[in-house]
Amino acid sequence: MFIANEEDSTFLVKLYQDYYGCVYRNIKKRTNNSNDAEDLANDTFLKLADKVPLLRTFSSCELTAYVVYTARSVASNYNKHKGVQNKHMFFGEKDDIALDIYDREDSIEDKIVSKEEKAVLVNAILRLPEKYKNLLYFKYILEKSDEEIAKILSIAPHSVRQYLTRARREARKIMEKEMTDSGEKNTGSK
Amino acid sequence: MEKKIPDRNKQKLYDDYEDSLFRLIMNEVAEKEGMLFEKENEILKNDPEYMPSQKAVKKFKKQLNACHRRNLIKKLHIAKAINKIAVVVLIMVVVFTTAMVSADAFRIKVLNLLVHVEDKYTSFQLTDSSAENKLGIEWKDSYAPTYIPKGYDVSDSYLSDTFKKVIFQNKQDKDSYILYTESGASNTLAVDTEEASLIEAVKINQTEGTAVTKGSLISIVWEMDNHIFVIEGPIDKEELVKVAESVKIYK
Repeated sequence: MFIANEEDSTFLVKLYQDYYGCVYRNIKKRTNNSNDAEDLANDTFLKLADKVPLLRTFSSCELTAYVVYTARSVASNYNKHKGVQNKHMFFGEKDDIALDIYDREDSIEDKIVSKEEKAVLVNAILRLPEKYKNLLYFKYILEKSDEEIAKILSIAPHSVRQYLTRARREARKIMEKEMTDSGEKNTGSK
Repeated sequence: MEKKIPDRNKQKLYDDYEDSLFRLIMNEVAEKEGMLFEKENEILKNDPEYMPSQKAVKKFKKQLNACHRRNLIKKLHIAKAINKIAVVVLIMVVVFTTAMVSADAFRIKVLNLLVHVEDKYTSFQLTDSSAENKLGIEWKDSYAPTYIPKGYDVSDSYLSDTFKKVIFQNKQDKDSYILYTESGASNTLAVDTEEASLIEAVKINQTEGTAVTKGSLISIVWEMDNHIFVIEGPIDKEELVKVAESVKIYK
């Protein structure tokens, strides 16, 4: 854990006071354990001590999202060690990752997203099941390594990329459905 | 003409594109979702159930202080260690440089004679072979022993620019001989030390040499004036040392 100076400590204490409620609620909800939630909330902020320089660069909303997803990763880790099956995070054996191999029929050009589609894709990700959303957050926002993600999710490190492919594919599916629905709506209204 | 991209490259391009796209999009997702979390957080801030207890705040501050202290101690230890290392290195540099400049014996012993102990032999090499130190070896300006035990005559000799060899054979005992070699700085000598029963340091005049005993065969290796010398033979060590100490340059 790295705290460079007193300023970092002050920043963390303020972060603790500002975001404790959000962190505590997320952890309690995911662990179903109010006794340990308080300690886990403290652990979350201590974990954030490493990231103070990065946290300072975030906008207020980005910071909130970062703090919340760090809390979720702490909760997942706790559940894993306690042997609790987390309905939000669990990637069951039924998840056949072999289905997520690259579809040779897809061309890269087909996958390029227009500006309009990008906004739809943002909403699609927000509507993803939590296990996929967490995975995308851990990878792209918390910037965890495949090994770290694998530990949290109790999967093999080499499978992380395949689960990511699946999460991205699910998001695209939602996006395409939304675009088709809105296209049909527009045609119907004419 | 359209160039077909191999499937493997296509897969990588696709993965890279997806990675970059989602990295970009996830920032927007975090911004948007963060806004929702902020609203939720504002409500929770006023809910006593989700406010940290005094005990929790105290504990957190304590943990944070402990963490801060640990970092300070770590930094202090690193700084102390760096200081110690710097002092030791400085002392070594000063001592080494002084000895190198002032003591010939030290320079010769430490820098010049590089002794590699290998599995089957030990190699001796003069490592300082700079042009100014490299003496040209000529038959007339060359080294040779001035003392040879009674009964030994020259039976063979060999001369090259960098290597000189003389074999002294015992007239009475054909198995007894004394081999003398002299090599230039650029040469590497191999002395058979496999299964040697004794490897010890010997003084040859002011120079430290090495004596290798293997069965009845004794070899003595030493350095002098940027040359490596070997005296070898199945005779007494004291006699060999005497031969070695007698080596002088013939003008």
